[in-house]
Amino acid sequence: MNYQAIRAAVENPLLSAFGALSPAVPVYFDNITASPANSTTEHVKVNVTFGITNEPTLTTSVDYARGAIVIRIFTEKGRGPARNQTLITTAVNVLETLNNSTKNNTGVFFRVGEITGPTFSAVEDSPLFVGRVEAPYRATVIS
Amino acid sequence: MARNELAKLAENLDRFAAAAFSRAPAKAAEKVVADLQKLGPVWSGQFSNSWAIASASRQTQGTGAPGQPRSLSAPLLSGRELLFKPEIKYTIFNTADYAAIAQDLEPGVFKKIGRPLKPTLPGQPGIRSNGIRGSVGPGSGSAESTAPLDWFTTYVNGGNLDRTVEVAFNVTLPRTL
Repeated sequence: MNYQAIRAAVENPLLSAFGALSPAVPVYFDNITASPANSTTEHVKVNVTFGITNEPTLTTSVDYARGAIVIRIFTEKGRGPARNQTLITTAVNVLETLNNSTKNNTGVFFRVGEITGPTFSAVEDSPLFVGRVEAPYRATVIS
Repeated sequence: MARNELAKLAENLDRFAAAAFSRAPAKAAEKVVADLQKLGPVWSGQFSNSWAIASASRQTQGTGAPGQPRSLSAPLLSGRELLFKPEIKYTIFNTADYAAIAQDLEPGVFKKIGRPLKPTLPGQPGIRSNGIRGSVGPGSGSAESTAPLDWFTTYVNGGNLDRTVEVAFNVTLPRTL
């Protein structure tokens, strides 16, 4: 199982999309702490998690994994949801584009399920407003 | 056959079906709760003991009391629920006020009271980012967590669920059925 390839299949497009914005929005992935940890400037946090790998009924010629993608958008608090929603739109567009990929003889075939959210929340102690979307995925590593 | 005899026959059939077949979905629901208790955070135990299992007509619920997580029994389905209601037989949700925070769905404010009943994750304490419970990274902070980030989302979306059970997000109040 090539977990790195699965992770890259979703992380790279997100990194490119947020990097192409003007100004670019920093994206932090699993095990990378935003610097500083409680950053007061807008940023995106992406977590790719794995649930089940290679269900037993499947053949051994391909590797399957299922899991979830969670994207949290942190923007300035007290200024309405518009900026947060703009960034969420970028994230959702990337997730939807992943479903347009074709199945090749090698590489990762990635499909995203229904996207849940966005949900918004803020706590008094935090300087940032949080928007969250999540989606299940199914990835096939073809070798 | 008289109408009251027909009604009695239906009732008996309902009882028979419930007794004979409804334990399989109930066991699936109980296993999901056990998984959620095992995977989720356990500091005082109140969150772990606040899971609820609801069928279309009945509900069982944890005590919400502190302490080690206790197993929860699912309500038995009636024969008619088993045979005729939608495929999803049970809905599972957590009734703790702060469930969404414990499930990493919303940010929160954290205060340590005592020590947790479950060991904290390796490499902690550290720094918590922006109030997300499980988002504890390396650094000279005092934040600790007893379950990995997005444990709940991973379990629900990762393919572990039985098809007769759904786990509800963002339900923080007990249902009235």
